[in-house]
Amino acid sequence: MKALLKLLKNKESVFSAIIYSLLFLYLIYPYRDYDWGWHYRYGEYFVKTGHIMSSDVWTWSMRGYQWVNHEWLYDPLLYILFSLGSFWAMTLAGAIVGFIPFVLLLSLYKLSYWQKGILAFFYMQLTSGVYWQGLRSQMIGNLLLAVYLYFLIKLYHLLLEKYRDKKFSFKVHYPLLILPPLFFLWANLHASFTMGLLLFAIFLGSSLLVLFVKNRNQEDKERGFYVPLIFIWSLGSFFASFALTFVNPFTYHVYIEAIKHTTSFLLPYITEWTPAGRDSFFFFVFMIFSILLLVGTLIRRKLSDLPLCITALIFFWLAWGARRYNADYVTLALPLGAVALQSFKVKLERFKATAFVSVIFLSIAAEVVLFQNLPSYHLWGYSFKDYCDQGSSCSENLTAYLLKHPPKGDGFNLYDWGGYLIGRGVQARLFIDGRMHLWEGPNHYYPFLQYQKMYYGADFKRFNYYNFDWFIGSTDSILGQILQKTPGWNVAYKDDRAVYIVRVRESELKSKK
Amino acid sequence: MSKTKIIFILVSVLVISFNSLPIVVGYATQKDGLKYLGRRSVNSQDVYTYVAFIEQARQGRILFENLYMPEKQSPSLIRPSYLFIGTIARLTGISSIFAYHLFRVLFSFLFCGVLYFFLKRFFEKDRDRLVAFTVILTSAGIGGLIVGMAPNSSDLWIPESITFLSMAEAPHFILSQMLMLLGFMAYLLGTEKKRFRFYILSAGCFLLLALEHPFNLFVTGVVVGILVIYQFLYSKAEKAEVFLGSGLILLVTALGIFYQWLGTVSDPILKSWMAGSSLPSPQGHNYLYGYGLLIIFALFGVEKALRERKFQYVLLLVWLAAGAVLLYSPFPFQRRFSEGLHIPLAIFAATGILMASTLAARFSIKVAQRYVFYIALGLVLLVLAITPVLQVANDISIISSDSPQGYYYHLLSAEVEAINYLGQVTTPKDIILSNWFYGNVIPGMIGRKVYLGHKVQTPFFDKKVEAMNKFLLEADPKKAEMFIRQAGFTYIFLGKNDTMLQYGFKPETKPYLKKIYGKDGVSIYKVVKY
Repeated sequence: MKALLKLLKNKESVFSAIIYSLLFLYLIYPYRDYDWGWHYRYGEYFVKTGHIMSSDVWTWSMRGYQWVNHEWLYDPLLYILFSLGSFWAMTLAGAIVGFIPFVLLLSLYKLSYWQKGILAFFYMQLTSGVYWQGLRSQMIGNLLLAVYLYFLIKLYHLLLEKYRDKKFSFKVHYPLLILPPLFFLWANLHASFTMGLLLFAIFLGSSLLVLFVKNRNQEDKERGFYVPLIFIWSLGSFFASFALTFVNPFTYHVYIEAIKHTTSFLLPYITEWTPAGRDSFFFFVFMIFSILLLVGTLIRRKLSDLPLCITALIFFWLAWGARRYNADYVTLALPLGAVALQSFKVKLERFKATAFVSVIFLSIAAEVVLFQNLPSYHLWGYSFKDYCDQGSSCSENLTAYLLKHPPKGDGFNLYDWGGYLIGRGVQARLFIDGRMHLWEGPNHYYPFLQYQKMYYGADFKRFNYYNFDWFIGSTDSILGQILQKTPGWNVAYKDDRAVYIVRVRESELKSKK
Repeated sequence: MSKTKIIFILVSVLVISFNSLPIVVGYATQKDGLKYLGRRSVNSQDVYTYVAFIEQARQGRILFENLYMPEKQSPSLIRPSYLFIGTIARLTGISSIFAYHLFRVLFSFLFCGVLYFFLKRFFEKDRDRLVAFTVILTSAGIGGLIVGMAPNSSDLWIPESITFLSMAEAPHFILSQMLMLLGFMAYLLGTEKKRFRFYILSAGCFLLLALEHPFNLFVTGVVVGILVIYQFLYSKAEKAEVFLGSGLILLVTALGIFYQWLGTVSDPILKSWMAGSSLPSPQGHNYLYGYGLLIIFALFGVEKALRERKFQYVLLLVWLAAGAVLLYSPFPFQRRFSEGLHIPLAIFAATGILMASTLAARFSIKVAQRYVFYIALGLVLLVLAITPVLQVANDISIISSDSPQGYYYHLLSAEVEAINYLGQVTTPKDIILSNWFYGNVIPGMIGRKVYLGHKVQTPFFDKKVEAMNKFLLEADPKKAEMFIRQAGFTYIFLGKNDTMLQYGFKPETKPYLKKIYGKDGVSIYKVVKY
């Protein structure tokens, strides 16, 4: 009891505990990953057969396509997690995976509660665009990026402080040993490991620069230029890491896949690869965070911040162009944000008003999380219906119909629902699903581009050319509305969300007659 | 009268006059054929719901009805302020809308008077008190400057959240804030002078508040509750007296809330009204924009107050914190808790502004320090008043842009004449069908019920619009008659170029309608048996 009272009197501990708790609660998002279904089936296949599904079996447009599934290891993890704990497990895992980067990276710095609060606010806001769907492979990538940065910063401090070391010590130099296996794991979980290699190079290069410009004492200066032994070890760690990235089922192809994900002309068609709206509150927060980093960096003007600055700058540029990088940006810039806040001369924790304002803000945050966010997610008893309601607006009623009456022939379907239909076990030859945004067939055939033109461009000529047997799409989509009125097409199922329209072939008509 | 008081009165007159400028301009610059309705952009749809209460009182009623619903009801609503205003209107012969604005202005002056005495408890120097007074009356956030980026900034559309906007709203808005101030001031006097009668006065104010804006009782109740705990823990005050006095206030608060709750659940009118009335707070950043620089300056004032720990400042701190936290409490009317929140925030901000101006003066040469102080002060006050100034300008601009071809803040003179005629031929039992633009103003203009006229006060508004649209195109007279019987309306009002006519309604072809008025394109039909 006494210990508890003592703890309560410690403002720092109490506020920090509340901030961390609220952040965790805020990061609880209902599971609504549009790609759940195909991840689940890939995972199921792997767990049951011990093999990776290498070619496509669900779509007719790219049947047999050899896809480099750069996140193949995530699939069995998802399958096991979902099989054990259904949506609850996914939701909880998503919150934990989202929470760890913040805790881990901030553990490197001694911050006051208000500094943690400010960073938690930015983290919460700027990750929301990526984390809102719950656990996704991209979140795993973000987690690994944070874990990796944590060890990289440790290594960086080693390089700057222990550069005279000549004996390798497991106790001191352990980050060097952790990084290669981490890369091995990462290369099998998500293609974002390529960014890790880039960061490794930035930190190593910066450390060398700092060592020879700033950190040297008289003895070092007299010695002239030399390469410290620890740097050589670090290079060894880097090359070992690099080599281990090839130990995956697709070897060097994962690199090609990663390059495709940054250079494809199809990216502007995908929402997450487009920039955040410049007039949104999200963008306002993004800019305020960036200004905070800039001001803090300018106040500090420390050469040792160089790798953190370069990292933040690169990811600022990426996040500026594509919203999917916002989570990576805020995560990787947390260390710079922490040192930036530390650099402010006014120690706000000394003011009583800081505690007063913190109480108000934290109370409001608690109310928003407990009375608005969490109840609106319907987490208690979360079902596939909720998954559809909260996510892609898919229709469980349509699925029930399709399970009873599987579509015949080659059909057209909404991109966002492809994965869901696969996961729900609907026996249909689909046109497209969430894996296929960058798939390329013979003669530069891109099903995603075809899909975009037909569904959003309402290119009915192109649609006719495909001679589809059925159509599944949103009830109020232009294509759906046209087909409902087109002779030769019959609405087999319709609700306020989805419509399933089947082509009536002449032969069928004749046989009926 | 002392020079200080004259200055305070002058500031009040200036602010209230400027605040009323759109209304004055609206009436003074009416174009040919148009009659100004006496409303402005913020909450324009609500103005005539309050005028309707005044009109009912003007016609001699004591208990009011919701005139925006056709469903059967018995008069049961108690609104003391509107009963008073309506009675004065009846005795003096002034129109309801004029009485509405007259008492809005009078209550605003009363509020200023109470504010003056309230501020005496916080500022010893006249100059400092005047600064706080001005900040409360004229300040807002940065909404007016970033309207493109943040159209939901609270200082643009939540009148209760800013004092200047509250003075432009219905009379009971500023009256409620005055009652809050009076209640808190009496409570402070009670604890300070140790006289029980002040606690009784405080309880009386909150009792009246329960009839005007019961939402505010949540704020006052929480504040008094926390202050009781504070006094028990830290104050040397007479505990028994504090307990009794505060207990009385809390009891009245609880009774007020219970009375309103009971009234709401037992009265079908209020129940349906409340069911459709959801007033959620906007996202948090909209309040940050809405209070803008005030928050920054208030931090300095809060720090000073927390260090000094004077009881009156503790009250303000608790008021500020409780009001802010309640904004996101799990109540459907959470937005209402912003009422009066501006006052403690502005008082702290005034302290901060004075500190900042003093600091600015210190950095200048000695002879110029006085001037630098006042220039800095003036500049800050000007910046804080930008949004209210822009809003007044915006109101004048949109009111003036009405024309006989397109109007919202006006009616055609012919339409006003026809509505007045309707008032003569109908009784309070009649129900009038019109499009919802006219339906919104008819109850206030003539005190008659309408089929639909307000998105919240007309229960099942959307369904009624749908049903009405179906009726307008109904070719089968039997089905139309059945709808009329169900809906219960007895008259149909059609303005010039009415949207109902544009929709395809042909009243002259309907056997169940008889034209009783037709002039300058405006017509009134009576429902008849055929």
